[in-house]
Amino acid sequence: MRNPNVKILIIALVLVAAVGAAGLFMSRDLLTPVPSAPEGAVQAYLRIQVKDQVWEAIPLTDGGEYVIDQQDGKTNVVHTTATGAVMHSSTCDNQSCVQQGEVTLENRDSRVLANMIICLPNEVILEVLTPAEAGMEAK
Amino acid sequence: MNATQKQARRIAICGMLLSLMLVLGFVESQLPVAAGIPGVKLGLSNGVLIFAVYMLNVPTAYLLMGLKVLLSGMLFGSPSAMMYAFAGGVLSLTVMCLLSRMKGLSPVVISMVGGLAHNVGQVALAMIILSTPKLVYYMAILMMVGMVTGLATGLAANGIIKRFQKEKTPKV
Repeated sequence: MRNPNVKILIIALVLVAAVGAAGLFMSRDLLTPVPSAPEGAVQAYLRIQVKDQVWEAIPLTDGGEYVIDQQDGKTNVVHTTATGAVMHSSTCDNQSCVQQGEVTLENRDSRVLANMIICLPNEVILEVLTPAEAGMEAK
Repeated sequence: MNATQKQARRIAICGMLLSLMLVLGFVESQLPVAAGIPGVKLGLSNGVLIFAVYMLNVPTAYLLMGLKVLLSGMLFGSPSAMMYAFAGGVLSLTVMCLLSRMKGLSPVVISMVGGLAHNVGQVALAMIILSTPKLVYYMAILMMVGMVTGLATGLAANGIIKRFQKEKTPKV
C-alpha cells in the first residue's frame, strides 16, 4: 500500500460505509411501520384526577374541551386532539401546567413528566393513555 | 466582646444572610432555567445555608431556612409553593447538617447531596398530596438536576467559606 491514492480510497470507503451505517441506524424508526388504528377507532384516552378522585378515562377527540371546575375558584381547562391533550388555561399561580405543553401518544415517552400534565396548586393530573392502558382494548 | 455585643452581632449577621437569601430567591425566580422541566430552580440560597451550617451553627441555619421559606412565600409565592419549599428545605438542611459532621466531606459534596435531597423532599410531598406513585421517574430526573445545581452553589459557598476561614473571622 505504497500508493497514497489507495490509502485515500480505503479511508473514503470506510467513511462512506460508516456514514451509510449511521444513516441506516438512524432511519430504523422511519422504516418501522407505525401501526395505524382502524378508521374511526379511538386512539387515545384522557384520565383526569382531581385531588384524590380519579375519573373514568375519556375517549379523546379532535377539538374537545373539558372544564374542570372545583367550585372553589380553582378551574382548569383542557383542550384535546384525537391523540393528545394540553392544559389550555388554569387559575393556578405558577401556570406550570400550561407551560408543560401538549402530551400526545407520540411525545409522551420523551417528556420529563411522561404521559402526565400536573397542576400542583389545583391538584389536577391529566394522563394521556393508550386504549390498552385505559382498559378499553378493542375486543 | 461582651454578651450584648455578641448578641447584636449574631442578629446583624442573621439579618444580612436572610436578606441575601431573599434577594437570591427573587433573582432566580426571574431566571428561566430549564423551562422544559417544571420545578427546576438554581437554589442559590442553598449556598447561604451551607455557609450558615459551616460558619454559624445548626439552629441558626434552620431558623434562616424557615424564615426564608416563610418570607419568600409571602413575597413572591403562594401557600402551596411555601409548603413544597419547606418540605425540600427541611430534608435538604437535615441531610446537610448530618453530613457536615462527617470528616473529610467537602462543602461541595454536601451541597450536591443537599440539592438532591431538596428535590426528593419536594417531589415526595407532591407524591403524597397527589397520592400518586407515578412521579418516581420525574423524581429521578430532579435528583440529577439537584446534584448539578448543588454543585454550582456548593462551589460558590466553598470559595466563600475558605476565604472567611483565611481571614480568621471570629465565629459568631
